[in-house]
Parts: sequence; C-alpha cells; structure tokens
Amino acid sequence: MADTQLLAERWRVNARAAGIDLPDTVVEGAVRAGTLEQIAALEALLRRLDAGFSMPHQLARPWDAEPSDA
Amino acid sequence: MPDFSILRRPLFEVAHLVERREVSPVELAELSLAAIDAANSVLNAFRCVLPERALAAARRAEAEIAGGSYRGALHGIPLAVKDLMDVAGETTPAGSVVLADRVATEDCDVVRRFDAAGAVIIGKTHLPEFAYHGSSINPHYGPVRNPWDLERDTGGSSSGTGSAVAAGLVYGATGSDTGGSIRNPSSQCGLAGIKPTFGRVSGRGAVTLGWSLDHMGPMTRTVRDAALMLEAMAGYDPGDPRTARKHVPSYADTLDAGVAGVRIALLEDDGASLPLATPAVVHGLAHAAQALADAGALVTPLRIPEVSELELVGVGLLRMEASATYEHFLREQPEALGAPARDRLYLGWAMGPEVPLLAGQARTVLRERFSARLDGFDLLLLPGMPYEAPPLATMPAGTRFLTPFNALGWPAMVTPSGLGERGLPTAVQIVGRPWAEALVFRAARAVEAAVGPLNAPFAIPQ
Repeated sequence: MADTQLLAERWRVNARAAGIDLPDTVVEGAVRAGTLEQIAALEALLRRLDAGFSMPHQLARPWDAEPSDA
Repeated sequence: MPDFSILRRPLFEVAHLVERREVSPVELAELSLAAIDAANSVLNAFRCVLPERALAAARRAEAEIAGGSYRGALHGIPLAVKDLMDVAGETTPAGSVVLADRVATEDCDVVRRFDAAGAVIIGKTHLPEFAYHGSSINPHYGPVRNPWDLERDTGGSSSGTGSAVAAGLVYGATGSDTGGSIRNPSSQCGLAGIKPTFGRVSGRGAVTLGWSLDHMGPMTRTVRDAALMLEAMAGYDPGDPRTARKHVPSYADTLDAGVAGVRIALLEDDGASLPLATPAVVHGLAHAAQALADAGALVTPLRIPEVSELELVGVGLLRMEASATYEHFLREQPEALGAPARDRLYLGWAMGPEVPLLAGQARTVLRERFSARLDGFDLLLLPGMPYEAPPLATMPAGTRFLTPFNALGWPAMVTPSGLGERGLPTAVQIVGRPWAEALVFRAARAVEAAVGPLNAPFAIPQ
C-alpha cells in the first residue's frame, strides 16, 4: 500500500511538472483498478532485467574475475 | 428486396467470379452499400461510407476487367478501412472529436496499395478514441455491436472492422494493432486477423498510437482472404522509415503447402500464474494443436515465462508512446477527450523517468531470451483472447497473449478454434519468427481446415 501511495504521489509530481492537470479521481481510479501495482511490477521487472544487462555502471570489468591480491 | 448472400461468401471465391465476369463489381459495391445502409443502425460498424468513390472505383474495375486487364484477387472487391487510415478528401477522426475536422490530403499507403490492386473502398469503420482501448467503448461515437450477439462487444480497437466483416457487409477490412487491436476483435468476432511483422506494412497516413508498436493488417472471414489482402497491403514504403526492404511472397500460393514437419511450441504456461484461459478457449487450443499434429506438425508443450514479462513491457511502452503522441491534447483540451482515452493518456506520467530507457533495453533482452526459448521451433501456438466476447462495451482484462507480440514485432495471427458454451467464437493465435508470415498462414489454414470458417448468425435487416 505504501508503495502505491508513493507511486501515486510521484505521478502527481510528474504530471504537475509537465503542466498536466491530473484529476484526483483518475489517480484514485488507477489505484482501485490495480494499475499502479502493475506499474510497480513493470519497474521491478526492469530493475531485475537491468541487473543482467550491460548498462555502463554494470559493465563487467576484466579484473572482477581475477583472484584478489589479498 | 436485395439478396445479400453473395456478400457472405469468401473473398477468394467471389474474386474468381469477378475475374470470369460472372459478377459485376458495380453490383457488388451497390450491394455492400445497401447492406451497410440496412445494418449500420443496428451494428454501428461504419463511421462513414464513401459511395461516390466506391462506385467510381467499381465502374473502373468493371471496365478494366471487361477490357481484359484483370489486376488480381482484390480487383472490384468491396473492402473497408479502419477510420484511422487516411482517405484523400475525407476526415480521419480516429474515434475522436479533436481530429474530426482534419481532412486528409492524400491516401494512406495501405489505401494507395488497395487502389493499385483495383479494390473498392466502401467506407471507414469505427474504433475507440485513438484506437486506445481493447473494447469498442467510444463516448463520442457509441459502442459497436458484435454480429454473433448484439449484446456482446466486438473487442477493440478494430471494433467496426470486426463487426463489418463478421456481418458480411464487406469482404475484408483493415485493422491496426498496437497492443492486440487486430487480434482481439478477430478473436471475438470469429475472424482471421493477422498482425504482420513490424515493418511489413506501412503506417504512413495512419493515425499513430504507439510509433514502435503500431502494425497494420487485414481482418477477413477466411485465412486465404487474409493472405490475399496482406499481399496487397505489404511492402517497403520510402515514406515510412519503419518499413523494411523485404520481398513480399505470394502468401496465397503457398497456403496449402501444409505443416508436415513444422515444429510448433504449444504454450502451456506464460509465467503469469493465472489459468491460461477459459475452458472453452483451452478446449479450442487443444483442438487446434491436435489438428496441426494430425497434419504432420511436431507439437511440443513449452513454458515461456517471457510472455508475461513482454506483456508488462509492451503495456508500459504503449502507455509512454501514446501519452507522448497525444500530450498536447491532454494539456490543451482534456475536456474534449473521452474519459476512457484521457484517463489512459494520464498514465504516461505515472512511471519513473528511467522507465523509457530501461523498457527499451528490456525489450531487447526479452527479445533475445524469447528467441532463445523458441530455439528449435518454427511457430508458437497459444490462445488469442482468453475468453469469449464479453458484454457490450466491457473493459477487457485479457490482452495478455496479444501485447507481447507488439513488443516483439513478430508476426501473429488469430483464427477461430470453435464455439464456446454461449455459441460465441474462440480463437487460437499462431506466432512466427520475423518475416515468416507465409508459414503462419499455412498453419492457420491447417487449423481452419479442421475447424471450418465460422458464420455469425446475423441477418442483414431487409
């Protein structure tokens, strides 16, 4: 539930920043319909897939596989 | 009192009659226009008809055929286009009022190709606003009724096309498919409908919903009719950089080549932790799998969890792309948008700023994993819609087997698998590797041969 509330608040902030007038009824409807939970599931999936993807911060460095000097 | 029965025959059969001059294209066009005039107040399938254009095209076809210049199977055949495709001189509201006054200055690429094939464009079919809904819901133009049961929905977004073709008002019509919008109404209306490989058919002159997900394709009453229509629609278009310079084979010529030795994966688990479909749809799926096996295909059950992951990613991409496309309407005149589309467009801002980048990367990862999962298989067999047509204008809850293939861009076709308990059509979906539409058609034809084309119990009012 807390996650859903955070997502709803982020939605309002994003919309306001974009100059979009987001009605509360739309947010409430999306919460009831489980749409925000679906978005949370998408973002969790993206994080999971990202762990196996060669993003710049996750590039496999050759020395990572070497035994530690210690 | 007109006899509309010839309108219910398959396109390919009537094409032979037209070629042999046993049937007049002008008479076919007049019959189709009369059928729409009689049935549209019941079905609400057409937003507009184009009698002048249609009759002019029909007269031209008749004269050409009489002069020995037969162009092919679509010559003189009445077809319709979804009302998000431009026809020169006509408006393209795309189910909205904010686009209602925009008059197209030229034909979209698909209509241009139909013209070149000598087809007769009869009219334009309804859709939900911007094609952004999986039902026929449209607050501006009203819902579209299903010829199988007038209290049932057609599914969307190619709702008017589904209704018009199933009712026998035209021989075939176009759909567009961004998250399942050809395959959903084809499933619910007992039709053959194919979303070809991304880049096979030009989207130039078609109103965009999701630029990387939109696919144009045909919806017809038989697999052969769909093959004939796609042949005419497909091809590289320098005006649409999404299209590919790929040879378009004659799908109809190889349709009866069979499926002996074809390796088909049968989806047994999509990773969603949900029942695959209703018992009737599962029964239809088993029937189709048996028909393919009987025809010599090697059918093997397979668990593919990437299907549900691709659905999540596909829906996310669709939300972001649609919101980016229509942001200006949402900002400047939200009150002019219907609630179903408007409320969905807001969702583009519900996701984090990193999602567009990560979703694009995830699509690449999942495409590779999906391809690897299907290593050793030629086709995938799975349900179309997981249930039969719901009550009119019902929000769909089941495009989970459709959207994944918009994200992938692979060709996917639905064809009827039988009738459920309520006497409504069920459907299976056949997915091929990129550009393998010919093999997809062959498998669909094998299923059709076992199931038989279905005929909606709708009588055009006299």
